[in-house]
Amino acid sequence: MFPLYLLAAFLLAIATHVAAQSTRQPDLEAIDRAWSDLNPDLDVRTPGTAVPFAPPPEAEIPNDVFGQTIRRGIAIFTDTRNEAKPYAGDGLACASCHLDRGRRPGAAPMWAAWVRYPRFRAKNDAVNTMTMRIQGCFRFSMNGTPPPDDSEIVTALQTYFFWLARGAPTGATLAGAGFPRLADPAEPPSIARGEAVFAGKCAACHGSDGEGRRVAGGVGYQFPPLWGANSYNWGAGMTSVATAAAFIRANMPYGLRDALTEQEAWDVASFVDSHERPQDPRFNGNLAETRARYHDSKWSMYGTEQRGIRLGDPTNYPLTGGR
Amino acid sequence: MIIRVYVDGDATPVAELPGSSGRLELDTTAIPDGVHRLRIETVEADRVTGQREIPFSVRNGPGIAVAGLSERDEVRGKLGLAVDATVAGIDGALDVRSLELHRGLPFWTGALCVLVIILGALYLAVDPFAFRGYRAEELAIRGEAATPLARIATDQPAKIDPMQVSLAEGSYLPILDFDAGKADTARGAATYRAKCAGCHGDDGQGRIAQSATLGEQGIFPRLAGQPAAYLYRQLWSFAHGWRSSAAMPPMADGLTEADWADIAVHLEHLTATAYPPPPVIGNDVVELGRSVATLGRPDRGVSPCTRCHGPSGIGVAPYFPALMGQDARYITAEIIAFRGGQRRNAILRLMDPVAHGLEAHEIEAVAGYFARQRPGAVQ
Repeated sequence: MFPLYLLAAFLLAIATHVAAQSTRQPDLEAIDRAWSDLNPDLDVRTPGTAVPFAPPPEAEIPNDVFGQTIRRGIAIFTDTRNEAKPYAGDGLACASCHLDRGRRPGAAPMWAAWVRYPRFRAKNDAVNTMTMRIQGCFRFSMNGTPPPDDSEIVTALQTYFFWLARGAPTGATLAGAGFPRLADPAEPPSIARGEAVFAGKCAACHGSDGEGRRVAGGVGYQFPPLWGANSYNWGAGMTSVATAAAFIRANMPYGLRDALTEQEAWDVASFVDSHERPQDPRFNGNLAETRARYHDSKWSMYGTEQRGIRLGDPTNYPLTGGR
Repeated sequence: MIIRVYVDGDATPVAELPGSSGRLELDTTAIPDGVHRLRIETVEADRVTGQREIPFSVRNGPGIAVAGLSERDEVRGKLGLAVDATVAGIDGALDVRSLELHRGLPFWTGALCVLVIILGALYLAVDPFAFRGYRAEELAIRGEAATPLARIATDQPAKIDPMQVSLAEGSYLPILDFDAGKADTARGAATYRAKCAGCHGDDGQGRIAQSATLGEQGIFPRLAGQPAAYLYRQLWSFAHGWRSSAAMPPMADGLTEADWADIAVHLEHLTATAYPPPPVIGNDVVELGRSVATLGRPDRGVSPCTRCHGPSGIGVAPYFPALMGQDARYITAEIIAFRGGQRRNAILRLMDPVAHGLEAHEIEAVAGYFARQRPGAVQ
């Protein structure tokens, strides 16, 4: 007969394992550190001696468990709100900024990001991993909760990125990485001019109040909200006017090229980022201190007053994301 | 009062009419050929009270043609002349042989011939359908899509970067003022029944029918459930030349902007229910269509259709129409119209790169893909 104590030990082992899994929380401090340190560097990159690269076509995804995991990664990437429900906090998906399912050069493609990790940064004397980076995206750009290390979500996403970078040289800067950095604008970005650009060339898709567009009867957004409760929070890289301008100039309006001048991109980026949005999860209760610590840049309007609203004031939005 | 009619300086009148008006017959054969004048006098109490003279020339004899000498020619030496007095008399039979021309054709005759030949050649060289006012759009609507599709391969060299579209003022149709809240759906329903239902069907489901305007089999797209702002924009475009169609402009033209808004909101409230049988196409074509629809062709500047038209082409209000279950020939025709410039009303000309970047077989495949889509089920 099967010894009862063996069965008990076995059950105990399983229970311990499950408990360990469920209690393993992401290291928010490490995530924040990696995020603060890497964000400006990754999102706005000057193409240097870049290596040309093209990701494999989706038709070549294999029909095995590896391929299934890749497809799961694509599903999470494109419909984050539904496929990674407990962790996504706003109306955005990964693919809202990483366009064409993370394949598009100039829109921070995932094949280019994959070969840049893990990264050692002397500044914080730490190795920052792709996992931390993904978790940072969930915490800030998705205004949600970082999925645990090695969770099914992180694994599926990384499997997809790995496959996209098939054959790319590890550690190289690939052509099309990040968003193409813009030179400083000829004239200081104007929110008023940006408002006119937005009404003429952005509002048709993103809504006249930046509220985004939903599919009739659908839960997700077809065009992402750019400010307000369902958009990225104040910790996201896109709250930097320089980052947003670089993204916009290279990629917007979607489907056209050079439809906006560099100045228009700066102007409309400053208009978008002059609106209130969910609180930075690193907010310590003091707006000025939080600004000095995380937003000390002429390109961030966090903590400043725009159109009569003190951006980042905790009374504007309750802290919902970044838990 | 008496009216006396004289020829030249004759003292005796050829006719004398009593009263202040009358008719007379002038026998010109009694007058020698040449220049004469008709003199009319009114006489009252033997006193001439009024006079009028009309110069005229008589030519009862043969016309005389001379080849080799024109008026005021400068000549020298001996001159060879051909003289012909054509018998074109009023009595004798017409002598055709003597009517032969004896001088060169005037310059304009030759010029006219050359012009006719050049225009004829142009007519053949240029798309004869376009020349007759028929466009690829109508051809495709009438189920002859293969012809314009075949032409696509050669119609113009692919632009180096189709995504570079000019958004200069006037080159695209901006967002129009449209307030759905002001529309009267009951009036819209009545106007729709009177003006639109004949072709698009009572419930706006679209249909394949004989077109009163084209006199041909036409494919009339489904309008039910399409976003009101989109429909209003189309009517506005038909009336203002941003979208052309042989059947639509007169209909859109006869209505006011308020009528368009009423109709648009009425149609938005209807639901797409009836779907034509999906086109029978091969699995590889469906897969090609799905790939174009969901991934686009980024190397050729073609964005994925579903990026704007929503998953399975369900449509994204207010500006991106549903493609789901729309007739494949209609979708094909519209892509061709965007390519050919007959339709220029897309938001920010977003369809330009798509229409120019796609290849003919991809257009057919993606149209077939969307025609097969149904609500709630990805085919």
